[in-house]
Amino acid sequence: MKILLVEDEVELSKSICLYLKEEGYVCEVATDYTTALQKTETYSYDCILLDISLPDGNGLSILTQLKQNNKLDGVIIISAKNSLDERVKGLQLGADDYLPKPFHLSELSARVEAIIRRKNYNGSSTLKFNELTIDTASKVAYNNQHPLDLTRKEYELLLYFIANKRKVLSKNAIAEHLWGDDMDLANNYDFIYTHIKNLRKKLLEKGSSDYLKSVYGMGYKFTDQ
Amino acid sequence: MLSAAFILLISSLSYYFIIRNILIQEIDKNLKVEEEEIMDYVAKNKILPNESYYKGQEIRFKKSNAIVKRHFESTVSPVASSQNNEPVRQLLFPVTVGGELYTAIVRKSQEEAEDLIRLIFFVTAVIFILLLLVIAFVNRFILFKLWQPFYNTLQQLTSFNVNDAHSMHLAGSNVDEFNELNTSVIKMADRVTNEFNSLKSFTENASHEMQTPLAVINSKLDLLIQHSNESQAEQLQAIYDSVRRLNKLNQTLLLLTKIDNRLYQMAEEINIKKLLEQKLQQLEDLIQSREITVTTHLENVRLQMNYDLADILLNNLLNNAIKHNIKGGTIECILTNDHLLFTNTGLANSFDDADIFERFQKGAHSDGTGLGLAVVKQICVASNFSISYKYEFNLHHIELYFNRM
Repeated sequence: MKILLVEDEVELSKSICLYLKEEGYVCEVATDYTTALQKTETYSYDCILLDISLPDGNGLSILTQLKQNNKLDGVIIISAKNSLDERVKGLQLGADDYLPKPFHLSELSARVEAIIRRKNYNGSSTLKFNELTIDTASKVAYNNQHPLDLTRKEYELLLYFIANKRKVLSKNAIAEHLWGDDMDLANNYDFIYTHIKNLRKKLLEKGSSDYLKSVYGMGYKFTDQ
Repeated sequence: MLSAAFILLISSLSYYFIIRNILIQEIDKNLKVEEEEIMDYVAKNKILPNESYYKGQEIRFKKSNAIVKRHFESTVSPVASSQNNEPVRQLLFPVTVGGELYTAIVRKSQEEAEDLIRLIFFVTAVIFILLLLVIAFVNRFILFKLWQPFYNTLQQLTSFNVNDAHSMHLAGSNVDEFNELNTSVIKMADRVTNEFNSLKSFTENASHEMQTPLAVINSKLDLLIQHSNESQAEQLQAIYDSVRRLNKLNQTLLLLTKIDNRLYQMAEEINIKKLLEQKLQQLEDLIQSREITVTTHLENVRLQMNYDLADILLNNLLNNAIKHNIKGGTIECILTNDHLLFTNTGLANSFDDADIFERFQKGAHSDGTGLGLAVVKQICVASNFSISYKYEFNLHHIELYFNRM
């Protein structure tokens, strides 16, 4: 899976690439408009992460170019502006998603995974992790063909963990993924624990291995190692 | 207008008296001529002339014992020609005929003079009213027309909105002063718009510039926790929380600026009840984790307002009621056609209740941004709602009135 990251902030691009590489993606970086345009015209990518404000141009024109050339690359706009106008404009121009900065790398990774899945299998694909299978079309998770009776939040949680397998996910990242920006967390993550506990219980009941590990008050990790 | 009327009144009054004086002097002159004629007659014939009445002029003689002092007087007396008393002017003077002393009275009716004065007064009054009408006309039409460019400019100034992209359109005028005024107004408006735009882009740029380092810190933290050990966990969590708070603060300040700048103009019909129920559902986990009981009495209310603002408004109110609550507390939410009331249990504020909607006003133990209710207040102002707060019997009440037309 090949990803192009168009981002002028070097430190941010380093972090993103490192994280995505560990997830098994091939990550290329373009730090300016010209390079990005060259790369998108020459190669095809499964997903392009596009920053809008670049030193020598607007990321949106790369998007326009892509659509003109009928390229099928998935595009996620990562922007510092988080303005509604920009989001609407980006999505109208054919971007698949819009992620305002700052974001958690796990959130980005989950969205990249979702885009690639949608592009490659027309959205009807399944996601696998050892004996666990998630059918994203019907939104049902299975353990060796046995359907798991998960609530919506538990299902989303499982999907998020599998998209970020073997990674430590901070409680902040999990809370923001499940409840979004609207919730005033007030440093209170008790309710996350409840959902994690329930998910873990349901997985174990159906005979799955105990993949969900708590990482000393920091967060959680979904791992078979 | 009033001063014109006053001046006209004064001048017509003095006019009246002057004319009256002149006429009386004229009568007096005639009376004197008559006196001379009588004296001549007496000197020549040694007898008194006949008493006579002719054309409003009357001559009478009276025997008198003492010499009367010669004088003019205005009085009222019956006149031969009519039964009524009429104002007359008379001259009394002594005449001696054959050793006998008489008082001669020559009187002339003032009726004619009074008629003349009345006529003059009438004409003056008509002129006066005409003049007033003309002045009114001049004020209303000609002056209005003359000042039209000024009123145009004034109207443009009143409806001036810095958010409007297009600048003011001021028509030229043939009065130099107005043209000068318009030029200055346009210059000023352009300057204000420029300043406003640069301020706007500054806020946006500042927010943008802050988001990028925040994104870097966040991403580095996400990588750090992959290989951190237990002793670092607490510090890392604290950094996470601070970054989140900083981000929230940044976003909220940007939001406040946007509301201030009236960038949320587009209104649509919002089903407040539906939106509120949706919000309650979203925050269900948070409510449950604090063991809070929520009771609602919601009417089906639709409001014309901006969707984003409605969303943020309800979100902040609800989050506020949850956050400043006690474990096992209650939230009561009442929505009627004209008001929305949030009542929740909670501890008393550590600050003055009146300051609750001020920016950065927060309780001693609050870890929020201190901007939640400031945003609520700002949205209320922008949407023309009124909002009030009170703390009674360990309950916080926040009440909103929609002020429908």
